[in-house]
Amino acid sequence: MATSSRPPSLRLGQQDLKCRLGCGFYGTPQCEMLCSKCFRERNDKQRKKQKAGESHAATGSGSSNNIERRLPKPKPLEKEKESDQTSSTLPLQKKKFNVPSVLQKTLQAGQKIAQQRGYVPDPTESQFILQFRQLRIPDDGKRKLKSDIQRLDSEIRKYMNNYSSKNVDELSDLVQNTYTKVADIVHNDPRFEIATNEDRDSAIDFFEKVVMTQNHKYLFSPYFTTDEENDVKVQKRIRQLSWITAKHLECNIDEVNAEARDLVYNAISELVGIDSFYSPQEKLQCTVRCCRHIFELLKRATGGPASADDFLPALIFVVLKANPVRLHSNINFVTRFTNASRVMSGEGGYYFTNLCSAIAFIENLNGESLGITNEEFDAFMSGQQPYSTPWESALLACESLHLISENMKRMEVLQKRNTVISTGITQFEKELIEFQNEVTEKVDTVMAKAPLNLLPIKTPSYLISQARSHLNPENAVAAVGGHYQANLLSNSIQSPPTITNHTDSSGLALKDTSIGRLSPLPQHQLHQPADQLFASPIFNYTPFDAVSLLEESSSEPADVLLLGSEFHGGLTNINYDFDLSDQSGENSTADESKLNLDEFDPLRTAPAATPAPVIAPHTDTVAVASAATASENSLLDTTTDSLIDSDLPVTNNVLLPSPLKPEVNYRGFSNFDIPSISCNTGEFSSLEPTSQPLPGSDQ
Amino acid sequence: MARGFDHLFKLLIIGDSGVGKSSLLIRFSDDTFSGSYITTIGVDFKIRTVVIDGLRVKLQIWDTAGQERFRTITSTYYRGTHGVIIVYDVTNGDSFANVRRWLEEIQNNCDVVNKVLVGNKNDDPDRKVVITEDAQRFARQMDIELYETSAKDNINVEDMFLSITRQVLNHKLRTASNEQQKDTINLKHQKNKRSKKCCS
Repeated sequence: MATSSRPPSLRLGQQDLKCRLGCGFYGTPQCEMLCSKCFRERNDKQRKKQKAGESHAATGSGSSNNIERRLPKPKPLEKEKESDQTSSTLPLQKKKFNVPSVLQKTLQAGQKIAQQRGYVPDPTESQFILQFRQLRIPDDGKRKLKSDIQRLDSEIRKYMNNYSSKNVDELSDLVQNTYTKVADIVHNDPRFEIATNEDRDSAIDFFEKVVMTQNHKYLFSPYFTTDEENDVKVQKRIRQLSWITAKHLECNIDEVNAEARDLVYNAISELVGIDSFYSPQEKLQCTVRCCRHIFELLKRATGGPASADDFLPALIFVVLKANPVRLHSNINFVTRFTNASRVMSGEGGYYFTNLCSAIAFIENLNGESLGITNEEFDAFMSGQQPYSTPWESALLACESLHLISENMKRMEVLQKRNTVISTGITQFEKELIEFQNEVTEKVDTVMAKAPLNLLPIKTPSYLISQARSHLNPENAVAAVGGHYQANLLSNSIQSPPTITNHTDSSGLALKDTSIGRLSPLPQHQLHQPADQLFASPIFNYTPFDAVSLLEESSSEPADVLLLGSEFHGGLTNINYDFDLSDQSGENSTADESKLNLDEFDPLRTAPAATPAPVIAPHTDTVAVASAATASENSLLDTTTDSLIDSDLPVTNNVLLPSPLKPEVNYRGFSNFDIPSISCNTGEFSSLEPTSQPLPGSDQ
Repeated sequence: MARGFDHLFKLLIIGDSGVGKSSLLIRFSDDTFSGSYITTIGVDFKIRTVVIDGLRVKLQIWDTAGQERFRTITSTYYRGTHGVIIVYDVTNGDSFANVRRWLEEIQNNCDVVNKVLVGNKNDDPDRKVVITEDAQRFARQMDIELYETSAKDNINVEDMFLSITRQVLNHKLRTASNEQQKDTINLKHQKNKRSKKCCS
């Protein structure tokens, strides 16, 4: 029950209440945070010291010193006090009193003096000053009241500082008698004649309140009483009794009902709050409020006005669950030092009496009074028997529920985060898909805008026929030593004729070219790009290939087969030659420079006229069959003619499907599933700007 | 004296649990037929002012728990009590038997106190167990006045309370006059003094 015994508003560390010397007992502010025992010992020591230094006659001054030591605050008020003309307190004038001084000030406009001296009354004091002003009693009465307050105050302190053995009952009697006297005066003194009864009562209340608040530190749990020990005892006892349930007490408290629990909580906080007030009146008020909560609780539980039969057990239950601090000290303080009538009558008195009864019951509790056997009771008290009370369970359940709700909240937060993350993920996925689509779309559009048009190779019919005619001797050659060999042969043999070519006449040169078509090199020199390209071994085939594809249906099956076989045979060559052609393509730049040189060819060709016949036989040698030569000659003638006629631009147009054109290559290869396409296309770009005729051919 | 009352008496209601102490109290303090009904401070703390012989008497009636286990601790209630109302249930023989113990209780806690014996729930003759004659005999033996009441039907409740009040008042006046004879000087104070002593 540690939780309920200390509400948040009054939370004090256990250590704060303990004796400063660490003896384990509780300390009190009036004993300078020492426990009564330590305080007494220390006082005894100091007293002995004092006695050694002082004569017995100086006892009074000694006590005054004592006060000074304890109350340094009222020191500046001393002079003020001495100048006062209160005859009744004459023998005590040299002493300083907190309250009286304050009151004097209010009466004699002492506030100014206080301000001059930089004295600021603490909140309770200033409150009292205010209340004193507000008391609706004649000024004479006020003065009388004030002097009475002073007198009682001084008497209390005198008693407290007296070296003789102290008895709290004597002190109580002293205070009570003063109360009676004051009540007498207030009600019967002519100075209070005009005051109403309420005002008189409030004056008496004020008297009590001031004296008790100011002397709380001396009168509350005085060190010469056993209050402290009892406090600890009852607290331990209540702690031991934590297993008691409402059932044991037969009270109508529904421990698990939330509403009831709230009311019990209110009652508990009021009960614990008793300790935080100084004056007995306020403590009683606390008790009354506590009990009203309990009555409210019972009224709701029973549905009608509650009787004392129900009330007392409920109060006991509350006290047990509250376990208020310094219970005995508080009870005794009220009992001893409040106006006795207050405790014996009136609402406060009634509830206070009930509270006292409850405490008495708790202290004298046994198994019988709880409706259980004494064995059971002992088992519970010694902690041997495990127990679970609905109250604790309710608290625990409350806490668990609280924890659950906290966790639920946390889970919700996590869930939110999770959904945020998952939505983010899905969105990201969507975006990715969109991006992908966009890219593909863009690519598509770009592709659509700039389609890769693979235009069919338009080989002029004459070229095809030419090629066919050309093919026959080639075939013958292939039959002899293979196309490639033929090429090599042509190359090897060509070199001398090329030289001769240069010297040939233009007409002869043209013939030469026709011959030289078999080998690329001389053709380059001849400045007939289309032709030269065509002349390259590949280009011999590509057109055929294209032709074969385009005119498959038209061409004779035998021819097709022938072409196919040739092609297959030449395929390896193609691959091999392809690279060569590339190089030749690259060389095209060099060729162009060569072309420039070739411009001068006519000049050179002019002297070289004779070698033509030389070449002719040479070709003849290459082409073994004489018939073949004849045919070749015819072929050569046609080509030469056409070439001459068309000249360069014409050749461009005519030789549209120039083999250098990568498209052609591409097409050709793709058709035959040759994978090395990219290489070619890449080459193409580099080729395009350099070789002027090619784009022209595209158009 | 401009007070709202001339005398303030504290009455205590004791008796076994369930005999109807609270019912009697509520009937007496909350019944508005009486013109002298002034106020109830707390809802649950019953106060009523009655006028007897021209004197306004404010009655504070303290209810007590009747359970057996609280028997030992109720002594604090007796402080300053002027009169005690001992209640038993006429339909419950045990509660009547316990009256003797309650009387002892009073004896232990108070020197002189005015008492009245009340047999409550006297509204159903069929269920009545404690015969009036027995109770009367016992009351006479103990020198206590007996009232048979019914809080439910409001029988005899007012009379009973007025009776005990008158008894207390007479006692007080008698004591006061005695003191007056002893110490005339204190008379003035005595009248208004709220004595801290028990059973003044």
